Amino acid sequence: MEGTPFERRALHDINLDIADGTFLALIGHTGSGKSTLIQHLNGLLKPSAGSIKMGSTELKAGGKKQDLKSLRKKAGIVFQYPEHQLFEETVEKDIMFGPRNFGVSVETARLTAARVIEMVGLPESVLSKSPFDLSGGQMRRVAIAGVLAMNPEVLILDEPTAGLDPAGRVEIMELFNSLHERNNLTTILVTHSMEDASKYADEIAVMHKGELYLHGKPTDIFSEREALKRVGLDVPETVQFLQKWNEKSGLNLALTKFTVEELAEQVSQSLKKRGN
Amino acid sequence: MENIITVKDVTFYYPGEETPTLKGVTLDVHKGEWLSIVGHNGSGKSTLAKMLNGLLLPSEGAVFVSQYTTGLPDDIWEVRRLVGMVFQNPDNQFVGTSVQDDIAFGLENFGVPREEMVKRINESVARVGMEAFLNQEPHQLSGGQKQRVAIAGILAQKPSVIVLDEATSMLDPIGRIEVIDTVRELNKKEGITVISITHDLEEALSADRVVVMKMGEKAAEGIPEDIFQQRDLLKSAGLDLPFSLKLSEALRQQGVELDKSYLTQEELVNALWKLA
Repeated sequence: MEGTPFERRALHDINLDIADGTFLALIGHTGSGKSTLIQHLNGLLKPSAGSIKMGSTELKAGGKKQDLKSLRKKAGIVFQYPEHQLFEETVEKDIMFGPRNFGVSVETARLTAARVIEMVGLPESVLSKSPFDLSGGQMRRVAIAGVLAMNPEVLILDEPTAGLDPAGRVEIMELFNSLHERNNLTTILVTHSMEDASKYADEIAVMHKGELYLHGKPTDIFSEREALKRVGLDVPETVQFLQKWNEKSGLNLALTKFTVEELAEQVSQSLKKRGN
Repeated sequence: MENIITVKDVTFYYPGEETPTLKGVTLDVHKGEWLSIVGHNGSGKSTLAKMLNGLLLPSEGAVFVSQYTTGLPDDIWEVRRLVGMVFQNPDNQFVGTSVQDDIAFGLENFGVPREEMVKRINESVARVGMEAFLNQEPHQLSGGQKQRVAIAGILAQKPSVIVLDEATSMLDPIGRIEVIDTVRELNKKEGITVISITHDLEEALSADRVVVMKMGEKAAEGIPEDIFQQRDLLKSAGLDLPFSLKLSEALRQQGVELDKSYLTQEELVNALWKLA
C-alpha cells in the first residue's frame, strides 16, 4: 500500500539467481518475506523497485500488464491447502479451467486433463467425479493437476504438505520430486522443514526480515548452524546427530545426502575403524 | 489415579454415513497428565477430540467429564467450561476485534459479571504472556500469538482440561514452540490436564502417555517409551518413526550391535560410545 500509513517494506534488495532445473528450498519464518517473494515470481505482485526475469520474460517495477500474463503461464504456484480452491462440478472441468482461460480449445484441454491426472497418480475414472467427493489427499492431487495443466516450466510450492499426516507428506513430496526430475522442471519449495529441504533441494535460500539471509548448497548452509539458530532455524536432525557424534569421538565426519542411511553408514564405519 | 475424563465404549457415525468414524473407543484421561493422541488422517482422532467437550455426542456409549455427562443437556455447559479446545487454524478462532474483547466474548456467554470479567481477562493474558497485547487487533498478531489468545480465552473460564486439536500444525517452528511451552507451563505448574491431538512425534515423545488411533479404533495406549518401540504398530497406523529410532534401526542394519532402540539422540550417542 504505497503512499499510505500502512506502507511497509516486505522485501528488500533481494538478488537471487535460480538456474534452470534447480530444486530450490526457500526457508524462513512467517513474516520473513518468502510468500511475498514467490508472489513476485509469477507476477501476482509487482516489484516496487527492481525486476524479475524468468527466461526471456522480464517484469520490471512499473512494467506492463502483458508481461504478467506470460510470467503467470511460465510459473505455476501450488498454494497452501490448494484443495480449498477447487470449485467445479467435476474434476475434469476443474483441471480444464486454467488452460481454457488461456485460450486452449476444449478438446486439447480435455486431453491435458487426462494427461495430468495420470501425472499426479490418480486413475482417469476420477475425472468424471465431483472433486468434493474425494478424500483430502486426492483433492490435493487434483488441485496440483490443475497447476500442471498449464505446463509450467517453474513449479512453485507453498508449503505443499501442510496439514497432511506423515505418510501423506512423504507421498506428496515424492510426487513433486519425480515431477521435477521427469519433466525437467525448476522447482521452488517454500517450507519450514529442514528435513525436506535437505532431502530434495540442490540449493537452499534462507529468508529473514525481508532479506536474503543465506543462499547456497545444503552442505554450505548446514555448516552455518550458529547463523541458522540466530534466526530460529536449525540444521536437520541427521546433521545434529553427526555433530554430537563428532564431539564425542573427536572425528570430523560429514554428510552429503543427509539421509538416515548415510548417517548410519558413516557412524558404523567410524566404529569399525576404532575397533581395528 | 483420578480420572478427569472417561470415554466408555464410544461408537460414532457422522450423519448419513454407514461406517462408524469411532468404533467402541474406551479411554481414561488422568487428572494432570499430558496425553498425546496420534494417528493418520481419518483415524478418528479429531472426532474423538470433539467428543471430549460435547461438540459431538456419541451414537453409542458415553463420555464423562468429572461428574458430568456430555450427552445430558443439563451438563453440557459445565462440560464445555471444564474442557477448552484450541483448534488448528489460528484465523478461525478469533471472534473479537481485540485481544480483550475476544476473551470477554467467552465470559459473556457464561454470564460472568463485568468486574470479575476484567480481573479474569487480565489474569489469563498474563498466564500466556500476552499482557502487552490487550488492545491489539487480531491481524496484528502472529499465528502463535493468536493461539495463545485462544488459550487465554479458555483459561479465563477456569477449565480443568485443554484439548489441542492439531493446534500447532499450521504454525511455523517458532510459533509451535511458543504454544507448546505455554501449555507445558500450565500443565506442570497449574496441573491443567492436556490432551494433544498431534502429528508431531517429537511432541508425543515428551507426553506422559500416548494413544494411537487407527481406523476409528484405539490401537494402543501407553507411555512413549513403550509405544515408540513398537515399530510395526506405528507403521501400520500410518505414522513415522521418531528420528533416533529410525537411526537405531539403520545402525543395526549396518551391523552395529545396539541392545535396543533409543528414543533420544543423547541416549543413542552414549550407547554408541560404549561400543567404540
